[in-house]
Formats: sequence, structure tokens, C-alpha cells
Amino acid sequence: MDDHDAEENGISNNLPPEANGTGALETPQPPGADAAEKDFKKEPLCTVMEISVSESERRYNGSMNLTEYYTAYLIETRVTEPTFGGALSRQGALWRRYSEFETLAGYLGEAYPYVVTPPLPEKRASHVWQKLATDPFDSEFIDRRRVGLEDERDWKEIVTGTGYLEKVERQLKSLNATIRVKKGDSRFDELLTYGRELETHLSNVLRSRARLTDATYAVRRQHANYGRVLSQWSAVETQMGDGLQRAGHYMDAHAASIDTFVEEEEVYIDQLKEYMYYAAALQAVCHKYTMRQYQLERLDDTLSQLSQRRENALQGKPSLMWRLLGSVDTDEVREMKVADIDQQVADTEQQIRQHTEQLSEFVEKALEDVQRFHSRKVKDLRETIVNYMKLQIRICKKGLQTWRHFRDCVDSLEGQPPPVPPPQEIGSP
Amino acid sequence: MASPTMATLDVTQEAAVKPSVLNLADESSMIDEVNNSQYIATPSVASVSWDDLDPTDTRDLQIKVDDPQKHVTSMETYITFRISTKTSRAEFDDSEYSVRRRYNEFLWLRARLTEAYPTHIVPPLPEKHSLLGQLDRYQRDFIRSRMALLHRFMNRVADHPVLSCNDSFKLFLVSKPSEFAVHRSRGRSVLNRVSESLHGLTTAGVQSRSPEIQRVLDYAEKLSDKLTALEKASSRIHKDKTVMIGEMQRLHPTLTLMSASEPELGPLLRAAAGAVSRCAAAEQAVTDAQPAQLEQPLREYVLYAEAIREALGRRDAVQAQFEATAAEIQRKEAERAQVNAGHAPSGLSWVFSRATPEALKAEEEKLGKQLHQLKVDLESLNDRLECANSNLLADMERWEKLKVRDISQLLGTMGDSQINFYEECLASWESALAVSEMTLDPARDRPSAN
Repeated sequence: MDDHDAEENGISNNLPPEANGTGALETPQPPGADAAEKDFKKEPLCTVMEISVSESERRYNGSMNLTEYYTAYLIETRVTEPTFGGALSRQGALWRRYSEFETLAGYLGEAYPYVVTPPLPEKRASHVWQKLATDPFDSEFIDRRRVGLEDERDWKEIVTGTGYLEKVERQLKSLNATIRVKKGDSRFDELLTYGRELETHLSNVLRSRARLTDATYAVRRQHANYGRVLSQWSAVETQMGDGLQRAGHYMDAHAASIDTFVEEEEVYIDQLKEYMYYAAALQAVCHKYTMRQYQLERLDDTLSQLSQRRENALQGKPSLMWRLLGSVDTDEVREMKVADIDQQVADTEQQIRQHTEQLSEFVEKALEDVQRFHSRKVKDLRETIVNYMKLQIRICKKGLQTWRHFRDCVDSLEGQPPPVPPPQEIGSP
Repeated sequence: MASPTMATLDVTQEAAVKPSVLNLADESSMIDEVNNSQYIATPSVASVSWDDLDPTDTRDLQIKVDDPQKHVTSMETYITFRISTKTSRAEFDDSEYSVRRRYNEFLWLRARLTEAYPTHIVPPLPEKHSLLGQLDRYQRDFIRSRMALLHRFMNRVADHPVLSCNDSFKLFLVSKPSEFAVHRSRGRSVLNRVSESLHGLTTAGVQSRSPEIQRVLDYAEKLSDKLTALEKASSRIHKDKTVMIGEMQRLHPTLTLMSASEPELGPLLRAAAGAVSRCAAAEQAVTDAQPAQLEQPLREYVLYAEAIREALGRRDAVQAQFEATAAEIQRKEAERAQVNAGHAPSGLSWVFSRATPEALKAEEEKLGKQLHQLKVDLESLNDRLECANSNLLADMERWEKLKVRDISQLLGTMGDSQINFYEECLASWESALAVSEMTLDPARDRPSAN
């Protein structure tokens, strides 16, 4: 399957061993793989080996300009399935930078157009709750990106350098054009609508959440003011001094504790963000379908035009030349024309057959992958939401703990051991 | 110059001699005052009948300020509040009263009280105009806050053993409008007379205060600072919380909308939306309660610090008078000594007269009479000063206990309100999480093929 698609797109599968990158240990599969490997070709690569992005490192670009640097990520692979032979060695490691991931993603999007491609993590952070410009080389950010880059799941992966794709740019441009098809598969219309909805919803949730966390953070940090004032006040009081000071410390703690929670929340938000881009990828698949369908319909149009012309040619209908010069086609010329048209018709019909076949294959595979996408999406988003809820629970518990301590400090202000039952307000709320 | 030399305030002796001083020997009355501080807070609804009130309120004088009403006349528009009194005290003819008073009348009452008890700490009134400017947003909030502080004022006075016996206070509670107007006009002339005698003699400040008194002054200043800072902090949090609540309310619909297009995730998303909504409501409840629970009590105590400083100022005035009189006596003594020695005293009237023995004799007699009067004055001023000092310190001690009680109630309520909030939020998120366990589909959620 890999070979077939690769050939279609003009990519040679016989690639030289890794030229760029450092320490590449894989060699490409030799053509004509042996039978033992065929079993594994159908399975996702991740069932037979572990792939992880384990480290990141800063590299400098060239010797002239020292300020240009990039981050490289170490990809480690380890074959877990003992019977998996083949050219891929037992263990491998190589370094890749982000732009190489981008080109890989582009290539995969091209080579497997029916697949909803997993999105790459962002170069720059978006929907982040803090309105600070994030340094792309910030180590935390890199870690998060690293986690995202690990998700090379469900791919038949060629873990080699691929010298490839200018085609990608061309494709990317055409994807965004609005193309009308006369009779498309309505499933793709529904899918496109769904993809847009999903993208919109996630975008709204992300935006709303970012503002909420902004506001929550501000409120929490304000409690440090309480802490400061209570502490200063305690210095002025005699009886209440001790209790006020301790209460102040709890306010400081309450203010400080928000930081770790917010950081953790960002991790879950990243997962949501990933699905927002997944939704875009879903729409991309629909566009690819539309484009292919469009091409097919254009071929159909061409065919009908050709039929019409053949009719005209058969009847020796006046051609442009005749109108201008008054000449009429001889029988010979007429036959030549018809033959010529017949040839074109045959070619076109051949193209139509090919396209139709490819299109139906595309549709079949795409819909299959969409199913896979859906179940993965349900699983992932459920996990994300559950994690978010658990985080909120933890935040509440911590808050409870802090304020209970605060309450204890207040109870001690009057210096009386059994706290007096809380006084009732007149017409208490 | 007399200054309180006692390290501990032993007022019980003085009480026998000077009936105007607070009788601290009566422990039980002290405890009553402290316990009764819980009734300081205003009813949270606009009008409450006596039946709704706490049956454990055993004070013999209970006052309630509520029911603000707008009055429009051709000349002005103003607001009155209903003052309801319930009492078992003998000096009142009835046991219940209800009158309407406006803010200016409260001002009059407080002026009467400070005039009658210059060296006591008279509880503070809310300000004429709102300070921070934020209360001008809604007239309603301003009125509510003013009413709450007026309610506190009335109860503070009612709980004070000395202040609550004042005639003007009684008149304020019982008089019908026409009677009251008469009393008010009479009161004004009294004020003028008394203020002359108090501020007439001297504008000089005091030379030095006793350590206890100085401590009170320093403390009042610092407390005012800290409480004002606390007010600012809580007002900022209030603003930020309002923004936060808005964002929570906006998050809810985005989750609900998404749940409509996700059949499998729908229940979970709606559960999350529900939890967010409940938390927003809980947060709103906390914010709504903040004015009554936090801002009004804080404001009262900031104003109280100011009232303490005022009382100290009046006490200082007495001390200044005393010191001025003492200085005058010294000058006169010096003059008399001069005259005795046969010299003419310095002074413009003597420039052109002759210092005959008869003239000097007459002068000596005159000085003698003056000195005698001054010494009598000095002794009475000394009494007044000692009285003032002990009044003030006694009031401070009483106030200190109230303060500790009120502050711990204030902070305690703040803590309780937050605890309730987090308990509510925790419950809502836990029930949302429970939904996730219910809707778990084992077939779908196989471990990933990673």
C-alpha cells in the first residue's frame, strides 16, 4: 500500500540511507519485502514498536549567526514485538527539529489524503490564559510540545528522512479554494459541517476558559493583599496579634497555590487545542474529497463535450474554418477528426475510470479513518474533561483546607477555648 | 499637673466618688455588653417585624433601623428611616416605640452626645458623602450601607451604660415629629453656650500625654490604616470576582452548545456545564453577602478609630485648659513675688502710675484674689482631667473587648462563607464527575494501541 501511493505521487521509495540528522540508524526497507513482514504491514507501527520523543536540546544554526538557534527533539524507537523483522533495527534514535516534523506532517497529509492527520503542536502558544508572549524555547512549552509530538499513532510510518514535497504547498493552496460539486457524497457535506462545528465549539470553549482562568488567577492573587494587611495589622494588636498573623499566612498560601493548578490546567487545555486542529484536519479531508469529486465531474463534462464535438465532426458541421473561409470538411478530414476525437474520448474514459476507482477507494478509506477519529476523539475528550473535573475537585479541596485553617486562626483571636456558636444576625440571610 | 499614675486602672474607688465614671465593678453588665455585640448588624431585609428577631436578645433596650422611605417636598428630597424601639427600662413610659428620622437628625443626636460626654468615645455615624466613590453607583447600595451603619450606631449607644441614659437619646427614640422639632431648636442654643466654654480659653495643644493615652492615640491611627487597607483589598477582590463570575457564566453555554453536537460526550459536557453554573451561583452568593458581612463592619471600625481620635482630642482640650491655667498661676505667683519685693509689676498699666506702697498693696490683694480663683479653677480642672482620662481609658477597655469580638465575627463570617462556597463547588464537581463514571462505555474505551 505504501509503495502504491508513493509511486502515484512520484516519490521513489528507494531512498538512500539517512543523510541529514545525526546518528540515524535506520535503513529503508528494501523493495520486495519478505513475507514475514507483510503481516505487520497492515498494523499500525505503534503496535510493534515504541516511539517516544524523549528529550529536547538547543542547537545553533550555522557558525556565522550565533543568535539563530532551534530546538531539536530526540526520537527514540524500540521494537517491542519480537517477531517483527525487517530493516528497522531493534533500537534507534535520531534528532529532528520542528520544521522537519512539519514537513513530515505535510507529506503524510499528501500521501494519505483520506486520513485525518493528527495535528502538530503549535510553534507558538495560542489560547493561553496569560497574555505573555511565550518564548518558543521556554522549557515548559517545549515539554508540552514534546508530549504532542509523541502522538504518531495509527500510522504506517516510514521513519526515515524523506526528501520530498513541493507538492504539499500546491495542495495546501487548493484546499482552501471553494469548489462546487454537482453531486457529491452527502456524507462529506455532513462531515464538513461537523468539522466546522467541532472547530467552532472547541475554539469558543478555549477562549472562554482562557478568560475565566485569567480572572480566577487575578482574584486568587489578590488574596496576597489580605495576607499582607493581616500580617501588618497583627503587629499593632496585642491580644489578636498571633491569630491575625497566622490567618495572614494562610491567605498568602491561598494566593500562591493557584500557580500549580493553572499550570496543570494548561496541559488539559492543550489536549482540547489538539482536537481543534484535528477538526481542521477533518475539514481538509472533506476538501480533498470535494476536489477529487470536482475533477471527476470535470472529466465527465469533458466527455460530454467530446461527444458533442464528435457528433458535429460526423455531420461535417461547419467548423470555424468554414465560417471564415467557407471551406467544408472533406470525408478524409472528417474521418480524421472523428478518429482524433475518439482517441480523446477513449483517453478521457480511461481517466474517468481511474479517477472513479481512486475516488471510491478514497471515500472508503476516509470514512473508515473518520470512524477511527471519532472513537479516538470520544476517548480523548472524555479523558480531558474528566481530568479537568478532577483538577477542579482538587482545587476545591485545597481551598477548603486553607479556609478551615483560617477559620481556626480566627476562632483563636478571642483566646477562648470552646468557640462561641456563630452569632445569628437579625433576619439572617 | 495631674496625670494618671496608676499602672492598672483602678476605677472602683473613683466610682464611689465620681458617679459619672463608668462602674467597672459590675462584671455582669460588662459581659452583657460583649455578648450583645452580636446584635449590631442590621437586618438584611428592608423591614422586619419584631417577631422575626432573635428571642435570645435579652437587652433591656433594643433598637432597629430599617425601612428607608423617600420624602419629596417642594423644597427638598430626603430619606427617612424607621427607628423601632423595644424596651423594659423604667424611664420609658411605653415598651415599644416607632418613629421616623432622617440622617441630619442622627447628626444632631451625635452632637448632643459628644457635647454631654466629651471624654467618652461616642460611636460613629456613616459619612455624609460616600468616600470611595463606588457606592455612588447605585443610590440603593448607598442607602443600604448608610442604614446598616445607622443601625449599628443606635445599638452601640443603646448598649453603652452611660450614653444610653442621655435625655436627647431618649427624645430621639420616642418623640413625634412636632415635639422633636421643638427639642431640636432648643438644643441648638445649648450647644452654642457649651462650646464657648470648652473652646474659649485656649488654642494651645498639650505638652505631653501619659503613656496610656499616647498608646491609645497611636493605636487608633494604626488601626485606621490597616482597616482602610483591608477595605481596599476587599473592594478590589469584589470587582475581580464580578468579572470572574461573568466568565463562568459565559463558559456554561459554550459547553452546552458543544454537547448538542457530540452524542457520546453530551452527558459529560452538560454535567461540566452544570457544575460551572452552580459554582458561578455560589460565587455570586458570596459576593452579594460581602457588603453586609465585610464592608459595613470594616467601615464602622474605620469610623470608630476616627471617633476615638475625636474623643482624645476633646480630652486633650481639657488637659490644655488645665496646663494653661497652671501656667497662668505661675505667672501670677511671679507677679505677686515681685510686688511683695516692692517692685512694680511689669505691665502697661503701671508705666505711668507710681509704685506707691498703697498701690502695691492693692495690687497684691488683687493678685491674691485672682490666684485664689485660679487655684480653685485648677483643682476643678484637675478633677475634670482625671475624670476625662479615666472615662476614656475605661471606654477604651470596654471598646477593646467589643472590637475583638466584632473582628473575630467579621473574619469568622468571611471564613465560613468561603468554606460554604468551596463545599458547594466541591459537591457540584463531584456530582459532575459521577456522571462520567455512569456514562462510561467499556467497549469504546479500550486501551490505546500505543
